[in-house]
Amino acid sequence: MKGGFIMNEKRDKLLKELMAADFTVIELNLYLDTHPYEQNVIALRNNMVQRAKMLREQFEREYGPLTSQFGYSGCPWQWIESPWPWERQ
Amino acid sequence: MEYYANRPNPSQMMQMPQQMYDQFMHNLKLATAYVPFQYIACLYPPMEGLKKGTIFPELDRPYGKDPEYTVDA
Repeated sequence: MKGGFIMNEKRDKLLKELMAADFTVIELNLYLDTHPYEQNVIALRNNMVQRAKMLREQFEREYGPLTSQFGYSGCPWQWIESPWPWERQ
Repeated sequence: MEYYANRPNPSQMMQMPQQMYDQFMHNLKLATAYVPFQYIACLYPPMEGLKKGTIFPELDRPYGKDPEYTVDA
């Protein structure tokens, strides 16, 4: 993979942003478990769900599936195309 | 109530006569835990939250920073 480093950097950045959005959703979920009436927090959480969904779709569009059991694959089987952990540069 | 307000500290308890100690232990209620209710103030942005392990600044207490919550550092 020539020029793989630049590619990886962009990919990693997007993946990290997705992880951060997912984490924020989890945190807000936990908060809402004990504060179910806080409308502004619910709105914030819904926004973050939207953002995570958008980032996930963008990532999968550009770099292939994030999990092997959800989402559709082109041919050839895309799951094995994404770099394995030991292939990171 | 005043009984609990004047409760002895651990070293005083060690020095109590056995009878007093027994009476004290006998009168204790089972544990009652209390956690203050959290009110949301501000949040860390997602990336900072991910790095720190919480998006709530009031819960951000890295181990070893605050001597009160540090055992071995």
